[in-house]
Amino acid sequence: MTETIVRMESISKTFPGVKALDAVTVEVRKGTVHAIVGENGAGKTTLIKILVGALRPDRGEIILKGRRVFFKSPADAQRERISVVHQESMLVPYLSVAENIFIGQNRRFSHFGFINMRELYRRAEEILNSVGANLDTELLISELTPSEQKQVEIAKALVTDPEILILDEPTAPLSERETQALFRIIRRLKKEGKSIVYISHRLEEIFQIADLVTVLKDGKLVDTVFISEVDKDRVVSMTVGRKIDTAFPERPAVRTREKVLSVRNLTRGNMLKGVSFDLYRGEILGIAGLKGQGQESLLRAIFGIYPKGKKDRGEIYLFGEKLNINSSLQAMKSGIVFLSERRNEEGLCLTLPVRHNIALPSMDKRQYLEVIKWEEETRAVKKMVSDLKIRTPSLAQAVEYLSGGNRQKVVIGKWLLTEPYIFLVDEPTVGIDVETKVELYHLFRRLSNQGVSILMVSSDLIEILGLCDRILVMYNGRIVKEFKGGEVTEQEVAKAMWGEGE
Amino acid sequence: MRISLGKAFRRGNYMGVYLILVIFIIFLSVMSPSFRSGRNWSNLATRIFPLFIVGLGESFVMLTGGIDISIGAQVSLSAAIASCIMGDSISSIMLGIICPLIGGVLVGLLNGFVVTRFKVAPFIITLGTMVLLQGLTFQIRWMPGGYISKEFADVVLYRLGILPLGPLVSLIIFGFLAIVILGKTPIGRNIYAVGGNEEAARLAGVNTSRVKIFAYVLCSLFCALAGLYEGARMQCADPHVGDPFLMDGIMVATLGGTSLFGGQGSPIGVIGGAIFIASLGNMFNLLDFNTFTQYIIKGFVLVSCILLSHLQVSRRTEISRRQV
Repeated sequence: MTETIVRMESISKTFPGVKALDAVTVEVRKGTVHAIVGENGAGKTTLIKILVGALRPDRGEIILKGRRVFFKSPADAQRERISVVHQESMLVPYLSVAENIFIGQNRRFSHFGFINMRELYRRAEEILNSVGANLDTELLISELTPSEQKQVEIAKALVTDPEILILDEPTAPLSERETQALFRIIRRLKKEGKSIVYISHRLEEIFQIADLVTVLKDGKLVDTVFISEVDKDRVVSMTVGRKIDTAFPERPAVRTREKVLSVRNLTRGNMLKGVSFDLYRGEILGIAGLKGQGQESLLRAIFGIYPKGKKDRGEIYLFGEKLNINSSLQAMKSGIVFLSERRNEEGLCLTLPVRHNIALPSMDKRQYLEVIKWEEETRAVKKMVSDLKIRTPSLAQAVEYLSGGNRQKVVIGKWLLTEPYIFLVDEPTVGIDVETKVELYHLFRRLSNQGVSILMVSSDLIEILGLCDRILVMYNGRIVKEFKGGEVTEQEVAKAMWGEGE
Repeated sequence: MRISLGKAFRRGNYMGVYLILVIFIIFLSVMSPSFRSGRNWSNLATRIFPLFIVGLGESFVMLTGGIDISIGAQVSLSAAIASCIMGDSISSIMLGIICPLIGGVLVGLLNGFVVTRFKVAPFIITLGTMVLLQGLTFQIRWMPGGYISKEFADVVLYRLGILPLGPLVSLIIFGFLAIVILGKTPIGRNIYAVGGNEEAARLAGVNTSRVKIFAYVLCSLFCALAGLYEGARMQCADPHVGDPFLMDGIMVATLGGTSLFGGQGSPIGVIGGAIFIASLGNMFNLLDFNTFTQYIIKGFVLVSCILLSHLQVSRRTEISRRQV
């Protein structure tokens, strides 16, 4: 076994309300590809952020080549030759490929304060060649395809000649062929003695490229094993088995089979690849899956706010009639509402009062000659506040002063006043305290008993298993499996989530 | 209880401006005996209405998160148009009132349409409109002149003894109207929602373009009213009459607690802002400040307004960050 290059020793990190990492120890060795896996919220990102200096651990230490280091900022980590390729693009769209690669490094090319552009472009070309990318260095980033941009990001990460290169879900925008090209680069870097930390949701890839795999669960280290000593089933089973500490509402015994919504062969760019399913009256249909498998796009497409491209196909039927929705207003009028995961950005006007937020989408129902019927509105909003147990000192309180859970209830309340048939729900309990979580589960069940159909996307498997009547699993833009709620184990669903057993 | 100015502003309402106003008026009353006189109060009152109405219009636009730089030019244009049409007959007076108002609506539609349809930054497009309208104004009236009917002026500026009833009643009517529109109608609510969080408003089914266009039209309509009022006051049209209204209008709105980032503000605050700016002008006259000093002081006030507004926002983002 090769020597250890970095050791993260019993790292702990707590965010308000969650223990993101609990005494996690990970050792990365020289010249290996080290994969880190776990469900969403397992702590992968936090761990990486600590390693690259973007976050500071509450406890624990980082030992780099036998020496204890403290990173105050990402620049510190860079100086110690740790580089990272983030999941989201960190490129400047209107600068050229070469300028992006050397962004922040311009001093290297400076002569008396002027940048030697010819030298910069020449070096950029060299680096791109070394990662096997054949790109025109004078092109603007905005002119490149997502996969070409990824290549530029990798080239940019290599500028500082890192010993440790961290790749956070690098293959998400890449095709199979491009993924293989990336793997060739990774193998070459490995041969040069560099260490690669590789985060991915695709088990297939991990088994192709990684030497070791560390499994995290609920912020705790499960184990680090050699990939040659395990199989996929073993890894999946290591990621599941979280402690269930939530009381879920009971499922009703009798169910109607009245179809409310039918989605047929829905295709949207790269995100949805022919999705078909039915949603019945009064059911809670869960969509399980790891983050970014197209779940969010699906909800947005149904709500009419996902941009439709030329090649996009598929139909959506509401009560057997074909729907053609192009805006949220049309969706609302058809009885479809959408609880966005980004409630502060898309659900709330933070500076405005509770009353205003809750009344917003249904105002037209309570007006006469363009004047709001004040008493009627007060009654409606008050009823929502008490039904949903929104804790607020008054209806005039600005939403920004409410807690995450209460904010979420305000968004739910505003949609319920429009009296929807279908409630599209995206990660409803992210960032919400346990008590409110349970309240929300009971609320969803109550709504479903009243005949509202709920389509819930969640990457929290426990929540999906505990609450839903039926479960669809999405993987890579497709629905790969369907399960009946209450009759399936976590392990079975998790396997489908990780793209196994297709 | 300790009252902090910063805190009063941060509450996101109009307490701050009234606090400053009270202090300022007490200061002026002590400093200048002529300020205390009834005639001066009456004079001051007639200066408040145009500042209020322009600031109110600007605050509608600012509430949606936009800004209108062409307000001053609109005031000038309105006065110029009226001065060309108005004679002494009832019909010509009516026409002289209606035409500037129609012009205002058209300018508002233009501003609103370009901002929403082409997603141009409001600052830039209204800057363009401003230059355009200034040119138009000089076309029709390149130096002070024209005629604004005395009868019209008498109605608008009606005085009961020393009490300037006309301006005060107008102020109350439009203030009330604005409060009703913003507080009690769906369109008013939507104005706040669009400024508060455009994306959330759009997803909640609000037609954000329509709301913004409405705000620009209302703003321009109010500017046209201010032009008519200024015309009536001087009984002629000066192509430069609107010039100070650009800065004053924005200052009135910001001082009144309207956030430069949208979603916060109220007509009550705008009234306070208008009284303050009017008193400031009054002080310049009484204490005989030269133009340069006036600019320095006004600039200082404007910068302070913006800083206070910014303080409010940075505190808000801090809160949002704290509570995920």
